[in-house]
Parts: sequence; C-alpha cells; structure tokens
Amino acid sequence: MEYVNTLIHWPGPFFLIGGTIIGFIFGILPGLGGLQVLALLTPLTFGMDPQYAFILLIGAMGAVPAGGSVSAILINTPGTSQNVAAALDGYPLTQQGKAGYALGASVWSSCLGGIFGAAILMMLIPVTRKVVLAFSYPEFFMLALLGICSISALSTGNRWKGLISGFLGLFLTIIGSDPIVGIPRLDFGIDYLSDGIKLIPVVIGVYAITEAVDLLLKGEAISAIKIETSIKDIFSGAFEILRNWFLFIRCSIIGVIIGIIPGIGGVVANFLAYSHAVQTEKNGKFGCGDVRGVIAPESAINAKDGGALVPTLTFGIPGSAEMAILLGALTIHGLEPGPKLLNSSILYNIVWTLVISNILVALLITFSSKYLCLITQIQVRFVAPIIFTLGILGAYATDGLWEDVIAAFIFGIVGLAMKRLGYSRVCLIIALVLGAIIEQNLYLTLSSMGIAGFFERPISLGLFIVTVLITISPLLPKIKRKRKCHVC
Amino acid sequence: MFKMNTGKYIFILMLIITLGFVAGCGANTKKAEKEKSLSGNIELFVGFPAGGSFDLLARLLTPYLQQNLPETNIIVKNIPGGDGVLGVNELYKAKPDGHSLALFSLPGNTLKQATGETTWDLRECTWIAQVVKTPYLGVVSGKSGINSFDDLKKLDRIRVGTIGINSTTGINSILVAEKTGLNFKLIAHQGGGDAMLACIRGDVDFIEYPYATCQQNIEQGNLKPIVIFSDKRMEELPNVPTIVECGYPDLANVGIIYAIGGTPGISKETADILSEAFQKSINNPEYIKKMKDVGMDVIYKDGEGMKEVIEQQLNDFKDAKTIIDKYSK
Repeated sequence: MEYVNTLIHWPGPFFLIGGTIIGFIFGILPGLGGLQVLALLTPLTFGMDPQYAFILLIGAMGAVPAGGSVSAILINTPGTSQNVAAALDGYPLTQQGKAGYALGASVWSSCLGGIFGAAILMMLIPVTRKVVLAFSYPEFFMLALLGICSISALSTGNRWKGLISGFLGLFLTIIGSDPIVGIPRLDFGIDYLSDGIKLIPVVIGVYAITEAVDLLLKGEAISAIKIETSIKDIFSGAFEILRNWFLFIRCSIIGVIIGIIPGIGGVVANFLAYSHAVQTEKNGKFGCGDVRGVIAPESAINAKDGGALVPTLTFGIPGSAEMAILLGALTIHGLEPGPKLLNSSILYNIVWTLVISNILVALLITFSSKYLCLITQIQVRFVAPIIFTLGILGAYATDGLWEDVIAAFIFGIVGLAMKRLGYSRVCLIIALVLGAIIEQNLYLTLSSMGIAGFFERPISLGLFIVTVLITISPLLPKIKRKRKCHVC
Repeated sequence: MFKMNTGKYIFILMLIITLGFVAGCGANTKKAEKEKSLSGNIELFVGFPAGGSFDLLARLLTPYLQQNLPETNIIVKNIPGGDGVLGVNELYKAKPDGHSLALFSLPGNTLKQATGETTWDLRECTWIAQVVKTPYLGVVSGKSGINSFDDLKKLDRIRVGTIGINSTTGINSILVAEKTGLNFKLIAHQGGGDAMLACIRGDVDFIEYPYATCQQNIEQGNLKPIVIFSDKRMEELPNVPTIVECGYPDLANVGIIYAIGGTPGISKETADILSEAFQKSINNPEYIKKMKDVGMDVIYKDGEGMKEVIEQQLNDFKDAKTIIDKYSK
C-alpha cells in the first residue's frame, strides 16, 4: 500500500508518466531501445530517492517494446531488434489501410503480455531457483536450434531463399572473436569487427534504410488506402486478443520462459512466438496481414521482462542486457540484487511499476493512434528521408561509432537487394542472433557434458524432438501448409 | 530513378544534414579549444558497456574528480568491444594533452598486448593511478562435496568456468593451473553471470571471481568459497584460507586491477596535476565507502607503482600465447 501511495502522490506520477513517455520515444526511434534509455537515465537518478529512481527507470524500460512495435507496424522499421516479427504481419495490415487495427492488436497484446509476465513472476517466486537451474547449455543450444529451424516456417515464397538468408546470417556470426579463446577471426584486421557484426546496425540497415530507399523508388505513400483511424479500430484489434486468447497465453508463456533463461533475449522470444503461431494456427495467412502474426510476438515481448527479472532477482545475474543496467542502477542506489530482493517490498514495487507502465503506454498509443497513423498517408518524399535520417542517427547513437553508420549503410544495400530478389530479411536476423548462441552452447555442452548431455536431460531431449518435428513437418504430405504471400 | 525531383532533393538535403550532425556530434571538442592546462572536457574512456562494475567505478569517481579538477568537465564515454581493447585504442589515438584518459582492466589488457592482439604498448602509457585491486575468490558449487582446496586437488580433472580464455579470468585460471599442477579444463563463457550460474548448477567445478560478485550467492548457499588468492584472509570470510596458507605463495596476486592511464607523451606537469587530482579523489573516504558498498576495494597506487605492475605482468605473460594455445584445446 505504501508503494501504491508513492505512485499516486506527487512526484510519483510525474516520474512514472515521464519515464513511460521517454521509453516510448526511445522505442519508436530505430536503433534506440531499452539499453540506451536506461544508460541515459541511470546517471540522472543519482541523488534521487531510490523509489522514484526505480519508477523512472522501470517505467521507461516497460514502455520501449510498445514504441518499437509502432514503427515496425506503421513503416516496416522495427524500433528495436525485438520488434522485427511484429512487422511481418503488422506492416501488411497497414498497407491494407488497417493500421489502427494492427496497432490495437499489438499494443494491447504487449500490455496484457506484460501483465501476464508479471503475474507469472509472482507465482514463480517459490520455485524460481529450480526453474532457472533447470536450464543449462544443452537447453540453450536446443532452444537456439529450434529458433533456427523456425526459419523454414518463416520463409516466404521460395523456402530455399529463406534458408540461404539463414546461412548468410550464420556466416556473419563467424566474423569477430572466437567465443571460446577470444582470438579474432575473419575480422580483416579491423578493430570494429573484433566483437563481430552488431545486431542493431544490421536491423537498421535491412529495415530502416532499405524501407526508406524502397519507398522513394516506388514513390507511393505507405498505405494506398486513405482511412480515418479511430479508437474503435484500436479496440477492434484489441478484441482479437480475446478471440485468440489461447494463442495469447501460449505466446506469453514462451516470452516468460525465454526471459527466464539468461542470455537468450527478447529477439528470440519474438521469433519463437511468431513461429509457434505459424506452426499451430489453422487457416493462417501469415505474412499477408494475419492479426495473429501480430498478437503472437507482441504477447511474448513484454512477458519476457517479467521472466528476465527471475534470474536477476534470484541470483543477481541479469536475464537480459537491460537487466544488467538495471542491476547496476539498483546497486548504485544501495540495493543488493539477488535472493534478498525476492522477499522485499522492492520486488512488488518493480512489478507494479512494470504493469502500470505497460497500461500507460497502451493508453498513450490508443489515444494518439489517429495521429500516429497519419504517417502512413504522408507523401513518401517527406517520410522516406525522415526514416532514413532516424536510422542513421539511431545507428550512431548505439555506441557513438562512425563504423556503425557505415555498417548500417552496407546492410541497407544488402537489405534492398534481398527485398528485391525475394530473400527473407527476418531469416537473416534470426540466424545472426542465434548463430552465436548455438556455437557457444555446443562447445560448452561438449566440453562439460559430452554429446550425451543433449539427450540425457529431459528438457533438452524434449526440445530436440520438437525441433525435429518442426523441421520435417513440411515434408509430411498430410500436414497442409499455407504458403505465405508476402516477402518479409 | 526518382519519380519526384523534390523527393530526390529532400533526400540529399536530409543526408547532408544528418552526416553533418553526426560529424558534429563526433567531433573532438577539445580540438577547438586552446590547450589550457586541464580546463574543458576530459573524456574518460570505459572499455565496457554501461551498467557493469567497470562502468560503475568510473561513474562513482566522476563527482569527486570534478571537485578536484573544478575547471574541467569529466565525461565518461563507454566504448565497449574487444574485451576492453577498443577503449584503449581510442585513448592511444587521442592527443597527449591530458584531456583523454582510460580505465584499464588488468591483467586483461596486458594479456592482449602479450598475445600480440594490440598495436599499443602499455609501457608507453602515462600511468596515473591504480584505483581498485581485488583478489579473486575460488568458489565451488554449494551442492558439491568439495569443502577445501585440498578436496579440489583430489579431482582428476577440474572444470573451471571462465569468461573467455584470452582474458583476465582465463589467464588467472591458467596461472593457477601452471603453478599448482592441477589438471584444469577451462570452459569459457560469454559473461561472468553465465559462468557463475554454471558453477551453481554444477556444470563447472570451480570459478575464480571477486567476492562482491559472488557474495549474495555465497550467503544463500548456492556457492561455497574454498580459497582466497591473497596473502591475508578476508574479514568477511575469516574461515576461508589464503592461497599462501595452501602452499602457493606465488599466486597471492591472482585477481583484477582497475587503473587509470592517459595517452602516451603527456607532459610531466599535466600528468602531475592529474595524479594529484586522482589521488585525492580515490582516497576520499566517501568514495571509498561507496565503492565498498558495491563490493570493490579501493587500493590506491600512484603512476610509478603502476609502471612496475605493468612490467611485472608483461614479464609473467611473455609465454602467454603458447600457454593459452595449450589450454584452448
């Protein structure tokens, strides 16, 4: 109750609303996201009352994914790398003049997914330790392998082109330092490449820059259909969550599980949830504007934050990159992250702030959707340069390196070629994210457990069986698969 | 190619404005300033991402540095990559005017030089001060049957969790293996948290980390400390023997050092000003307490002392490349 008072009475609401708005803005801008907003805000909280510091930081962190989805859906430019899957069906819906409908499904899936993740976190408190320790190298490997095999599900049109995109992504993960010894490989003597190809410049390149140039080449507005977006459209999209409630719950659970596993990340949760929807939902038109293709990944994104708090609070080990910065902030404010926090009021403070931040950003997007959707009607000669500019600035803002801008340009050219030739950009991203996880955990499993480690552990074995089934399912004649009609 | 000329011109204009803006953001502002003695911006390069202990050390120190260098503006700049190498690269490219400093992580940075992965020489650095020296604590899983360093020695093969192999934790583990003759199998993880979780699970037998990193899990019984790599016992763990008591005095310095250095060639006058400011800041009781609260032990050493440390480490690591190859298989 004390914390509720903090949220209600000034200046609590100021920090909560302010943090939410800042997080939303960071989310909507390509290249900026949770890491950057926390890194920017943390020094500002020095000297603040810890309660208000947490409200500001967690409020901002909770709002980022929803912001990223807005740009993914409206301009096919994910605001953060974990919003890539939202564009697969969200953008086609926008092109069909259903931007409000897509935003409604997205933002309220994200909000409810976040609440779901927070609820699961509270339920898991008595068993957090067992849950986190149940996952080890073989399970991480199998999850990543499952994600890679989902490429076949996410490939549109020619499945072989999707696989080629995937192999290109895997090849890119070789560049950088050997994850075992740390010795550079294929870095061509360039310092920038010593840590490998960074994800954010690639995403900015293959999405923001590619889309900006492609829009200019086409010369048309994003949506050829002129519509008036209303709150009714938003809630129409939100209602789809109720119609697909079981999918929502399953994908939220996927998000929570991925969040619990340290080092896997929101990008994987995004893809796995989308892939799961494609594999399990009947009569799907995924890639052509199927609202379930929006609900699935969006449910997982925010649910993941609740899961990521589990290892963070249980062992003091961050469940994601954002959690690492949050841990630092907690430490600076005199709190010791770890098991002690599980039994303190701080946990409830964090959870409540996450929940309210999710609701606030959903309301923000709902009531501003009419103006947000106007972007789709703007002439391309105005919107394309803005997207391009924001992409470049986002690439630079990542780490303040010119090289990130150059990388974004290069991958912009690659992305444009891929789009024109029908190669899947999302498969490239999936493989780039998962390739390193696969290599690292293959080595760790073989070094510490041997090959038997993959098959002696029940979770690992179960994931292996699922992976095999998913991989061979396209070859089974009795399983009818809908071919998607939109190149992602 | 473009259907509208207007679109083309706007596009080009936005591109020029963007590049100009980015160039302006990235410009070294101190180039526009006259070279005054320590006024204006001082950039402190941190070679790891924001939020970690490395970054935290720098940010906690900044307010005290500002007090002791009142005409300057201290800017902490994160340049992650290459396990701290990129931050040092940036320092060595800067002008030797005292306006660029870096936070070094040793022996990690020294090791990179010893294995030929860098173009710089740490002996040329203008060393300002050592800030932190933390001994490593050897821990095992709380559920393992290992209760002492002697118990560990009885294992035929010891799986040791590290962060990479060509790194601070990697080389420290190798040093322990070489001096004790124990059969270490190094298992490299991406981060300290991963390695610690692996130890808690029992997937690795032994890890070496600062006490602050392991403290919560030790208190919860998830991890068990069996040796401190120091010549004196810790106040917090009075029952944990030192490596010297275990019979290996050569390993009393296994740990991590955080130090401040400037670009090679800084004038003695400027270096003295910086050294004095850092000495006052680092020895500020308030700073020492804050660092203690976050689990880092402030142990000040001046620039001359740091030069000796570097020489010692480079000497210890002269065969590092060969040894690392041996443990990489």
